[in-house]
Amino acid sequence: MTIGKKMKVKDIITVVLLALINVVLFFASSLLYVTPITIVLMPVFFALLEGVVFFIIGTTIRKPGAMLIYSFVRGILGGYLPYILLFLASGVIAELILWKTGYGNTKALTCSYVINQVLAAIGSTIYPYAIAVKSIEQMPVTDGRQDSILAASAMLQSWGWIVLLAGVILAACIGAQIGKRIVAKHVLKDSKSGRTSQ
Amino acid sequence: MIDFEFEFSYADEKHMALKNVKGKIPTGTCIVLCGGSGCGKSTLLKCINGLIPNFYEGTLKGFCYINGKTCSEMSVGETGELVASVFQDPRSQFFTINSSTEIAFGLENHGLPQAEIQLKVDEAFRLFGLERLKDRNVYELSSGERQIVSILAAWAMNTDVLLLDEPTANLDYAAIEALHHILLQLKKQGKTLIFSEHRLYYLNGIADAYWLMENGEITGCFTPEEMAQLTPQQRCAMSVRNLDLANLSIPKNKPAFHSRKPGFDFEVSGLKFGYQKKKGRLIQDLTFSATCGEAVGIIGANGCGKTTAGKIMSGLIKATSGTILYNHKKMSRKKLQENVLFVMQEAEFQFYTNSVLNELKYGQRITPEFQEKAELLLKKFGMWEIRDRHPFSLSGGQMQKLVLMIACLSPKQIVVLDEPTSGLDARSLRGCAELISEMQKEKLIFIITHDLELIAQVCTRCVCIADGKIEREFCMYGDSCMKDLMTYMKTNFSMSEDTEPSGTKTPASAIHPVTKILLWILAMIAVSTTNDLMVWGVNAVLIVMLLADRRYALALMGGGISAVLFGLHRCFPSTALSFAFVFFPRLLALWLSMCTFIGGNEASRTIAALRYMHVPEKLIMICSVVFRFFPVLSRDMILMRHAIRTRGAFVTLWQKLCAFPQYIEILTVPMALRVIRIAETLSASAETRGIDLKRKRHSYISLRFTLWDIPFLFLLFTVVIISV
Repeated sequence: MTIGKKMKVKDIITVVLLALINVVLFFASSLLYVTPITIVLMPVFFALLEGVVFFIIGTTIRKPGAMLIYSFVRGILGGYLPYILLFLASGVIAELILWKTGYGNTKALTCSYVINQVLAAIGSTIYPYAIAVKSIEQMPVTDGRQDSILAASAMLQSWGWIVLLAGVILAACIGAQIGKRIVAKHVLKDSKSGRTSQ
Repeated sequence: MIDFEFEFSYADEKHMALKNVKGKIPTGTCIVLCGGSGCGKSTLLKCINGLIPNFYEGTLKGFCYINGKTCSEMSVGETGELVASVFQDPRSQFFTINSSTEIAFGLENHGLPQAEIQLKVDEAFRLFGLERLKDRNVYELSSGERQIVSILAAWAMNTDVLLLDEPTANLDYAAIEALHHILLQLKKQGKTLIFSEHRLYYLNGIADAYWLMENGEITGCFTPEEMAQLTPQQRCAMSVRNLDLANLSIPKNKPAFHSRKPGFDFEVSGLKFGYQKKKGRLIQDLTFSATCGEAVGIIGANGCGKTTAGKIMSGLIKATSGTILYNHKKMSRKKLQENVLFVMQEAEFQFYTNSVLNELKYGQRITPEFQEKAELLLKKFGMWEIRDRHPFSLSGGQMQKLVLMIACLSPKQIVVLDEPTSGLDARSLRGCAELISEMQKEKLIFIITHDLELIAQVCTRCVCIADGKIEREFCMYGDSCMKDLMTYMKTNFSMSEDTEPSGTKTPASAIHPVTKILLWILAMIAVSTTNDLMVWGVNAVLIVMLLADRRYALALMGGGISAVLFGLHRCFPSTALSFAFVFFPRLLALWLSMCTFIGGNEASRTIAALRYMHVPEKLIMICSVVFRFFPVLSRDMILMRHAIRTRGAFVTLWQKLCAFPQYIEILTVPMALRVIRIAETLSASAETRGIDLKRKRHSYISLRFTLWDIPFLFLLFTVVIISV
């Protein structure tokens, strides 16, 4: 665990490498983007999984800038502009919350993580869903079943997004709990156990 | 001349890691720090190269003068201009993915002009006769070749002093021989060499003095002659390993081979296997048999397929053909996984719980007998006191002991150990040998190893793999067997100048990285809009670019996926396919655009381009770390999958779904804890090579726009204009 005022080379490298674990999870799950239903469920799925790495970073690197670097790496490798921008925004918000409440504070980390996942859901699902629907509308071929996509889209654009975001918030809270427990079980115990190098 | 005096304790630790350690090392001498694990050898090296207290925090008292300059007020990077460092695991200390740029990395940080950097890199390869290692992907090189590249990188820093922290921990016999010759050359050049090392035999003719360390103190200084006169018992008490392999003999008290369970046989017959990437078959016709109670050493030259053979025998890899019989019954891959345990060299991939005791219990049926046996084992091998410690906080030797204990308590009858003693001191080696002997009473053990001291202590026989089959067998009893085995290894295992390196040499792209970055930005813009024409246009340009880069497989894959998506959408219009037709071309565009500037040898060129574009150095550092992560990742993922399978955890999809949180835990936690360790080594290595120095940097790679860039820039703008 490192505490201080300024990020060192070691801290930056640690944050980047840890953030890449979540990027790998994201890439590994990208096949689930194939159907409308799984697309809608993806943010809920990610909110459950990504908390572990988020909490490991928040607990091991207690310095300003760690969350911003995480959001930058995680966002930019998503490669989708609205997603990148919203991820960066979530990083700035997390930095502000942690600056105000104290780095490593678990309540602040939970709050930051929920905001992070909500903004990611907007960038990764709600906005692109609208894009996909517009693209399908422009297609010359229609098979009748596309109506279901349009209906789903209408649903998302009217009240469905509230349900989706409520699901993401709930999943993010569970994800944060999982992250908190794993950090207490492995990371804090590991650092308490003492160093291994000679 | 190095003159130092240190007292040091790590932050949050009560006991002193170094107690009044002082010494003077004249220029051009070679000092070997030896002693058991945790005695303070590496800590002393870290004090000399400035990592303590700048990188590893704690309380340091004392001084260090190198060539008359005081290091106490210097940063790690500034000390790195006087002292170059080589770390234990070259895989986690490389900052780039190309052997030449890795050597240039430190020189760039020191602000040398481009021409000088290029000269120095060429000289490093030429002087040591290692031109064959130039411009190679470091992650495709063998461990030995990687360690040699890291020594060349240290040499290129042009310092008088070189610190080497267990440089042979992950090396095979041939690589150690090659390293010996390089070290002799360095000594001839008048370099001061300081080693922290357990393996000492290769330092004959190089070492001028051996400093023995115990509990953070230097307790003895020996000349090579004095060291040679020590008896094996005295050496073992000092935790010092053998000084001359010629003196190795089979211990008189070595347990005799005994078969306690008649009928328990294991037969391998006509195994064949080859990796897709490599030409020809790695394993041609592997045939041998063994019985319970044996400890069979599997040896062979680097890359001969020892580990692959071990994984086939454990059911982790499927052989192309051949049979494996267990108790005269043919075994499927699944049955092999149920009966054979593979203990991999990378111990930390095999830990899932948060304490030593829980690790032993993991996946076992807990009975009073099991608990009693586990307690006995922990007490016998000195691990009872640390039973509640997190496995990731253990030392290398303790981790090795833990994986061997897991194997010992496993109900599986056959155990394959892959390099179980790499980086261990004499005492830990003896502990591991005792554990293997303990296992041998009930199991059949295969040991993939280069460690002759381990072979002498525990193996009942040795099989040598060459050209994909068993070339020779040695019975490991009797006085002459060790000499015969060593003669065989000397004759057959070498890393000569004619040896083709393991890595492929990727030709540099003719297209400027900036053109590729522009295309990536366009791909990001395209996928963020509803403009499908732009997305398909970008994909088409990317496929042409990959063809121009001679990356035919990737271009074919991109073209194939596009054609399949288009065909399916046209022929079978449906909801799912409509979505796929919208989403997958976008994913494809992002993936292909990233491959164009990260894949192959392009990552180094892209970093150079970012430097030409005056991107802040911190951002370049983040990009470098991202780029180097992906080549390492695929190997780590395979290792993790194998570790999970061989421990018998989460075999079926149902098991994974039933215990989903635990499954996520074992997937992410070992990876995250390993990443934290890698980050420590990587940043220590980068800091000693001056990453934090505030200098104007020049890139080793020179970049120019060529005629090739014109058509691609034209295509890029055409796509934008047509789409808009």
